[in-house]
Amino acid sequence: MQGLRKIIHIDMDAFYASVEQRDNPQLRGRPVIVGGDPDRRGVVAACSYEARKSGIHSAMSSVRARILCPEAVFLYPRFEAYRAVSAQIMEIFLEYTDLVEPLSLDEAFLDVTENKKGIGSATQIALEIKDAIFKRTSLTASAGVSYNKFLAKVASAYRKPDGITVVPPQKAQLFIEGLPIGKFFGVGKVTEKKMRELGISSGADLKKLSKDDLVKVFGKYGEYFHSIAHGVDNRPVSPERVRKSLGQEITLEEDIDDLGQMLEILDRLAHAVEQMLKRRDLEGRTITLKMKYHDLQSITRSVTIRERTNQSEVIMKHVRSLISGTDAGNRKVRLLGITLSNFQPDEVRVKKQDRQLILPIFEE
Amino acid sequence: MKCKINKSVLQNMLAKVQGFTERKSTLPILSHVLVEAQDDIFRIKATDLHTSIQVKAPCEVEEGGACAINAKSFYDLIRELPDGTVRIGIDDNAKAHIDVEKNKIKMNVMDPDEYPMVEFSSMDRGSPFELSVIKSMIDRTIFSIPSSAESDTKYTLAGALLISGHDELTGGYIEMVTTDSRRLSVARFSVDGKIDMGEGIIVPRKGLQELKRLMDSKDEESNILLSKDSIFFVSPDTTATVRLIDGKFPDYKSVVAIDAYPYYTRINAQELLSVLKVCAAMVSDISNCVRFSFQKDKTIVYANNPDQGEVETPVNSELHGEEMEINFNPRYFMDCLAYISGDTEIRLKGPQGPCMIMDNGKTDCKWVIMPMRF
Repeated sequence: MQGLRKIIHIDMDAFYASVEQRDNPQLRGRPVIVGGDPDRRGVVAACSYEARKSGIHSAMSSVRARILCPEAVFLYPRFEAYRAVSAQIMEIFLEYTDLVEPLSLDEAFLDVTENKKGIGSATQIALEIKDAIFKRTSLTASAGVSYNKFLAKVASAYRKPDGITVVPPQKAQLFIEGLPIGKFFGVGKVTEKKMRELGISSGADLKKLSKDDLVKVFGKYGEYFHSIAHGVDNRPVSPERVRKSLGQEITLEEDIDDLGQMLEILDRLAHAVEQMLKRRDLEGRTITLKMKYHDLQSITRSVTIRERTNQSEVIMKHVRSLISGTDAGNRKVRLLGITLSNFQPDEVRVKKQDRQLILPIFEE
Repeated sequence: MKCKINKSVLQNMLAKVQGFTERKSTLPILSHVLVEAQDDIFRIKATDLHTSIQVKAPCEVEEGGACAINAKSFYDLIRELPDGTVRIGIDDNAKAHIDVEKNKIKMNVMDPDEYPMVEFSSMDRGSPFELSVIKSMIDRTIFSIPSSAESDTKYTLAGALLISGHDELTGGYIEMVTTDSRRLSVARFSVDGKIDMGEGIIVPRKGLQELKRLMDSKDEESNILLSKDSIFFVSPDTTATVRLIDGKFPDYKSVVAIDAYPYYTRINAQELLSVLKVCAAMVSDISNCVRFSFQKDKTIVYANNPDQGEVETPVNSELHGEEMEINFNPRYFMDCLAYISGDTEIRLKGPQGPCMIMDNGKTDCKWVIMPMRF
């Protein structure tokens, strides 16, 4: 068996709102809500700790937030500012390890089992990173340190803001057992309700159930719940960005208006896309046709099919019907492209279970 | 309540009713059984509101009464006790006293009045139906009902469609159909006389499983009664009912239309089954499939597991149509081949299309199986 890994999860505290408070001193100490306009059915994207005291949380409608906290300051998000900070913290992470997996602009997993500075203690590294983040961005972050992703992620949320929680292997069982079920990564409102109906309200309760029982109720996630309840999570920290789409496009040497010629080019693109998909073991459900007319007007047409595919014939079958919804043939075209997206989730990819086809009567 | 009953009799009764309780429900009473002692008869009733059962046996009653008691705990306890006479009584503090020899056990019980009504009065409106036909239909289709976790919400797939009809050539029939969207099973049996099931009814999975269990246990003199909204199982000491549900079952006619499958190969079902069993052992993981290479005079079955090794075995067969290679999940074939004796016809559509396995022997059963991608 391999030695235990050292995983850190870093999560910025009330990220968008904190950036706003940093950049505008007048907002400090006040409830700040970043998100959509309450008058236009917006939702809360982030809120400061002052706003949270009034019971506001992200994803709540802005109207409701204003009722709960009438004195709150509503701001539109400034993604450029957040992205700039995100780049700064990423830089800090990379000083320690290349095994960084960003989950969003403000949180990331780091595998520091082997690190560039040769520091033995992951806790030491987490403290140094928090310190560096504060020095360079004037913002605070919380850190979770453990031997797998699940525990590190849950730990970072344990003491917030500006906290650090370390879950060493010998304390993992106790930590998991005491954890309310809603805190488990992957347990949303619906799953939580289901869990509570089954009498599961903490990690200790979850541990009592057998894998078979969990699979019966939660399907493939049952296995995951069973593993994490026993402190097992072997998912690696993978620095590669999760790919959302894959495609190929070509700007033609000369604008064309011959439909047959276009389909020939698209067929070649479809074959290229098939190769790219197969190399990465991906299959997509959404097929997008991109087209730029001679006047530079760009359009896309897409279709989502029931069965994921990586086959050029299937792609072309749909591209042929997509193209009929464009002006191709009437207007000259200068660029053609095909993109596949809506890929299977990782766990499916590993198991390849969806190689099993379904009966035609169940296709949409 | 105060009574005496033989331990093994009680244990058998409890074993029979376990499946009819509902342990996961938010209603704790549904994980209980209702125990009644009256007129020297000991009765146990259980229900999950959809499937219900009542079993009875003679006993010695000193004082009649009833209580609701946790089904699993009671059963687990009785199983561990030594053989002999079980004395059961209830005190005023909602405790059952269960004594066998030196063992003295107290168990919490619930108010019997809180137990849902388990009654079989509508049974009188049911008409008798041949048990062996129901049993054969269930055996041949139950494996393609999806488990609760994977059943589709759009269709009522978590059960079997039971439908009757009339065929010009063969006369009246009854048909059970199940599908998990990857395969579809149709078991059709001829019936004498007329039965009308309208658009068809759905028998929920759990009820079907429990009926099968009861029929497998080969009770003497057991009968099936069919009414518009329930199926009843009746034997001298057991009465069970499954409530039928309304639901939309997908229109499967096009999938089993023989014209949709222009090619076919004729092959010995049991020979193919034994070859597939070997393959399945090689590719135990469900992600792995078996390749069928349909050739003029043989079908080559090939399984490959990168971690273990490979198997390749030819089976004599007679192909009418184009040669082709298709991948299938071997389990799907094994499930239905087990019910075919002699030759079967595997009808084919094309390398990516479904196949239909036919049993044209005594029964008229069809199983449609979708392939796996390469």
